[in-house]
Amino acid sequence: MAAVFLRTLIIYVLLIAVMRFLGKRQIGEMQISELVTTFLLSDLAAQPLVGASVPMSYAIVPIITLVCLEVFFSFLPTKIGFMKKLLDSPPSIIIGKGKIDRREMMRMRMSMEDLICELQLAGYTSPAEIDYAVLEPNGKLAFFPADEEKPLTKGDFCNIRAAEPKSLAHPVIIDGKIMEYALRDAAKDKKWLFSALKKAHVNDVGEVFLMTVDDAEKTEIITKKECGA
Amino acid sequence: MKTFIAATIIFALLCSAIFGISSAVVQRLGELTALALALPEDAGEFSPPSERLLSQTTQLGTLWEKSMHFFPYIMGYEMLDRADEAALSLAAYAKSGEQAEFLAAKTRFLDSVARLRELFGVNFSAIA
Repeated sequence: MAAVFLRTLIIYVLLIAVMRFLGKRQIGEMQISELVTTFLLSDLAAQPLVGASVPMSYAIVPIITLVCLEVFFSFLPTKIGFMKKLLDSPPSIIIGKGKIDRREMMRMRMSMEDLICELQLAGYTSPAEIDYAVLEPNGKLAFFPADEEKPLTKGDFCNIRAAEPKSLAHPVIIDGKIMEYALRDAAKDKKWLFSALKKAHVNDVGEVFLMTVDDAEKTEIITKKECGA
Repeated sequence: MKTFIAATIIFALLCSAIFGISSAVVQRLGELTALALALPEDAGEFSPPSERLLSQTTQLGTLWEKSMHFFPYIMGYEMLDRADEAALSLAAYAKSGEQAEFLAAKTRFLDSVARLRELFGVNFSAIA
């Protein structure tokens, strides 16, 4: 009895420590690997608690191994380009410029019912109200309403915002890495990218922390120097 | 970055600990195997039990008991049960001088230890 109590204490403390180690993302928006890790962790932690013949090392070793691997595989894609391609699926534009991309929906195995359900949950009644719908890597749909559907803001009253319609900003460079999928979504190529950088007096892609381009070719560049990255 | 470095250090420590513990387990199992193989088998040693038989069996029993202080942290009791039972039988049959049972227990002990060595050593056959 005392052994089970002590085992529970140890496993609980270990789990709290590893979940803290995994970070806040674990609690809210989980990616596929994080979801799998969380399920595995709970199952592994339960083993020595229910089976007295199962040694503690059977839980501790795999839990630590899984958490370390999870940290590696969430960190490495941010630094190594091919790892990002291998492990992260890029965001998918389901509705672009007000038009539903059925091919992309089929690729994402998303039905029209799913899209309508998500729209309604987000407070919209029809896809016509949406300019852009982006399926994020964490599985959530982000909606960008059409101008006429946007709620009024203080900025609108003060006429600070320009009247021109806004479009989705594609992150073509993140942390010094060119995002091929974003370039493709923005219908741009590397030649255009380098000329835009040159225009902004940026000599190297590595200097850029974030560069976005929208459909009106409006670019925004934040260099690593500016944000202290 | 800090988390990544910490994870790398923890992972390296874990790998070293696993390798170190596995090596220690294999070494101890090797010692137990050597002691068990050296146990006498001749009929003359059993009626009555010779000093050599009793001392070697006690030596093996003591080392096994010592090992049982750390083996359960690494392998489950279910894995150890067969070898534990064989080790106890060896001591009992050595004292009673029952040669046939002693030899059967010795074979069982050697086989159990060989299985543990295979399962808990650093080798790919243990994956199965």
